[in-house]
Amino acid sequence: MSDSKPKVAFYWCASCGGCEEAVVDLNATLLHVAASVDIVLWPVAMDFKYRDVEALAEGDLTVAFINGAIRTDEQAHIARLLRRKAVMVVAFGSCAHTGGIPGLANLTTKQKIFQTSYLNSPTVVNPEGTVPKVTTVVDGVKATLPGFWEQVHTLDQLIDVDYYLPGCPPMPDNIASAMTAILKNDLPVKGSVLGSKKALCDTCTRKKPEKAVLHKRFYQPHEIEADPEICFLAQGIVCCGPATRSGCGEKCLNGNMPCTGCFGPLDNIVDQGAAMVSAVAAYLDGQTVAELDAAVASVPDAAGTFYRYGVPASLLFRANTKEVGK
Amino acid sequence: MTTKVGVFLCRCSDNIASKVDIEKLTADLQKEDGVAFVASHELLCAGHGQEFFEQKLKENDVSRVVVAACSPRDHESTFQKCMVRAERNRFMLQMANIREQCTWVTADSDDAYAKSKALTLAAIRRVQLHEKLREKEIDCNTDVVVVGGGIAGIEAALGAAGDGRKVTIVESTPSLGGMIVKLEEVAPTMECAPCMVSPRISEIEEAENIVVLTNCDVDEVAGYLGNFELKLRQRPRMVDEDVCLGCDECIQVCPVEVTSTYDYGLSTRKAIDVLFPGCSPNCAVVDLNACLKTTGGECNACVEACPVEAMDFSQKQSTSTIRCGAMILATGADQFDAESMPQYGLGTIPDVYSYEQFARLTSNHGPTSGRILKKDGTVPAKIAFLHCVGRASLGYCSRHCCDAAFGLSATALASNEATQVVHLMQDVNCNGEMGSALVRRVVAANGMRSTRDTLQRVDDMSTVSVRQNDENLILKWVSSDTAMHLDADMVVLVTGTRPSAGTVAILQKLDLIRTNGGFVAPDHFMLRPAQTSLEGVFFAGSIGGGNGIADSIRGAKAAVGGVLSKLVPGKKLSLKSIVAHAESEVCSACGLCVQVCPYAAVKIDPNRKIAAVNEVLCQGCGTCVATCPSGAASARHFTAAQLDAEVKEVLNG
Repeated sequence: MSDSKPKVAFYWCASCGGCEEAVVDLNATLLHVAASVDIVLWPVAMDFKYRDVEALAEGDLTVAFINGAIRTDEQAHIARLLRRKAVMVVAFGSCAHTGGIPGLANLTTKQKIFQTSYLNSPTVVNPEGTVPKVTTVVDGVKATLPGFWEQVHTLDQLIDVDYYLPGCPPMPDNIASAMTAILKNDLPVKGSVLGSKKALCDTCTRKKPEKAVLHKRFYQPHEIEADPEICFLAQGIVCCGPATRSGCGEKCLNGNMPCTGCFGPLDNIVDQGAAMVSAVAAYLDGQTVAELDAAVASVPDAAGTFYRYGVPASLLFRANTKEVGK
Repeated sequence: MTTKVGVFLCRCSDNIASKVDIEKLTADLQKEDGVAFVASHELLCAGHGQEFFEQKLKENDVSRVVVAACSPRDHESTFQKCMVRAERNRFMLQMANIREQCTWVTADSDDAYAKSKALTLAAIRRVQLHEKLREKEIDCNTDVVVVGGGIAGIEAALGAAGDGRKVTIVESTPSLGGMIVKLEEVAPTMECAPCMVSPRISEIEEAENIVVLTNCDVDEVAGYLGNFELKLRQRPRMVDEDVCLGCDECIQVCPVEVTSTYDYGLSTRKAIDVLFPGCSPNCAVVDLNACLKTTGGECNACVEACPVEAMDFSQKQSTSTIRCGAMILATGADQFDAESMPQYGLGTIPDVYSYEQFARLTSNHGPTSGRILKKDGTVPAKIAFLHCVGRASLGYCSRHCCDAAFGLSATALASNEATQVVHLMQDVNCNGEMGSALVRRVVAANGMRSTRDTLQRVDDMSTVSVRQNDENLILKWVSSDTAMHLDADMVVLVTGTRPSAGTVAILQKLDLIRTNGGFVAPDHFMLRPAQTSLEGVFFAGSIGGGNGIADSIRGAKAAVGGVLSKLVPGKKLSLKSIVAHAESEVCSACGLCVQVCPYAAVKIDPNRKIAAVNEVLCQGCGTCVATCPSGAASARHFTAAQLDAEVKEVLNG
């Protein structure tokens, strides 16, 4: 391996592994990338140790791609380590960018998550009621696990992030062009999201009715047969397209499913969920409070619908889980 | 461009200075970044204050100014004018309201000081991000189109034409006149309706600058204040308007009789007819759905009978385009359909009439030539007027129907001495001196023992039912848990008003904001009562909800006033500077702004695939900005960056 090649690290935090798949999905392009860089850390694919990274000089690493949200001590430790060593950190995918699906944990508490996962799930057999602890002594031997945080954070809530690659997961062509831009040092201002500047409606080919269509209620995709040619919102199906960055290749739309918002908000938008709520409000039909309430109530899981990928990045950051009377 | 800010602190005599130490505030603000100078004055809005303001700007090279003083509602325009006189852009001014929002409402002077400083600093940070907005003007068309040729439309047209404007009236029926020509006398003053309207219609016919298009509908409207374009569709009369004399030779020979909708089913008419005697244009019209010739049959009777060869069956539906600067909508209202409440017996019991039907009975031109008789030909001894019919389902009091009912009542009493009346009502809504006098007049003419015999209160009119007895009609209802009943020979259902079909159509076409009842909503209920939500579109008459004649005419004059002051021949139209715009690099043409804009000011440009704001129509309300889920829309002078800087400074302070 030549020292002149740029050194690159891939790391995953709280994520599903889909972002790693997305890198593999580069196919032949991956080989070109691999040929022009030195991969020094990629736990999912290659056998490196953390000490290999620790051994690097600060600034020795050209770029660290970090996917996943941050919720454990270990994730925070490695993210900070990579930040120290890397010239550039790229938050890779929805979870690192805005919190992603793991970020929905901020709607509940660590305690409830443990209860569900380790005690109450029908498939769990745990008569001693054991839940993960940071330190456990077994036969006089001390074993440790990374601490599990009360809440999930985006990557930039922990470390300084230079660029963001949006999407759940990011699209291979988007990854490839980002890699090329980084290698050629042809990048926009620091802090930019690498992708389109427009919402999904820009590339969506579904037809919008000329006159406004208002709805007395909204439908879940399973409650109505969606016309594949017509704008979902015009059909009363909540589609996050107007509040979501384009660049996904309209995969959900082409499968006749509405956008769920994984590419995150546009540059001028602080809170994607709030933007989407205002968009949906424009479709509400009703003259009385009761009618409007009924229309709103037809979206059964507002937080999960409008903030599916962005609870930690939202203005709210987390739900108020303090129970009344306690 | 320098972002240094000149700051003026106004003592407002003692209004501000008694609570806030102006010298200390001056010294404190002078230390802040971006502040070029801080100057205080005893009373900045006064003449010498304004001179001081302008002098300071002459001495200092600043383009941005903060005035910490009263509410901008009081004096923002004063200081904007000072800015202009000092050769600065008026939008480079920001006011900090340290009087109404601070010294007047803050007890503690330390708190008031802190608040004044925070508000002034917030204004400084905001004004540093202000942009010099341009003042724009455009040419405009000053012609007027009036939609609807009832009394409101007639008066609106005459008003605008009186100023020399070119006016076009677009009327859907074959004649001008509307509802008022169907009446004999008009409440509350009981004037002769034809005597009022006929001269006004003659004036329209004589006016050289008024064009009347009857049998005509508005198909499409495009454009905006000063530059509207209307596509019209005119249905054929099959009679040449310029040739027809309005004689009845064709009517005499026509073999087809149809039920008259003009008389609400109380009479029949021929398939060729004039709408009413003295209609305008005074020209016959063929009922295309009834005429033998137009429904595929064979007949030539009217053609042969016409002494002037006015019949023209080659006429086709025609379309045309006209331009205007403003529109006045006067498409009126219809009555609530009382047949939808079968307990009243309309359509099933012979002597039950709707309000409009009964009005036709009182008219000398009506189906009975003004005689009010039962179906059996006898004089009704007692006529019961049921007020508030449909009020519960409409959800509102229609305001003018009580007047109208008492008007019909007065006419009925005058027409036959043997007739008495009784009014069943939830409440009496005959307002003012004229309305009250009308009720007294009916009560006096009725000759009953007491007022209560004439006016009977019913808690809920929807509980009243009407049945046919052997001899007469019996009305039953429950009031205060007591079963009540009353005999009558004739029942008149006084219905509320709902939007007419023409009103529904035009409001939909123009996408105007409507009331819950479906009438046009004024742009502001009190301040702009004749203006719709679309700039340049005014309204008059019952399109805005049930209106008496006086209110309709008052509304027409108000609408004309709005048009004449808005569009002045020879003058350009100055546009608002604080308008919305969409950032083309960000806008994805999702169309939500189009959907929420109350002024129809935003359209999607199909070629560029972005939202385009029409700066003539935009009122700068910011609804699209709040809605835009992409952050592409922003309002000039209220950008996110400007508001952000302002709010952040207040919160930090």
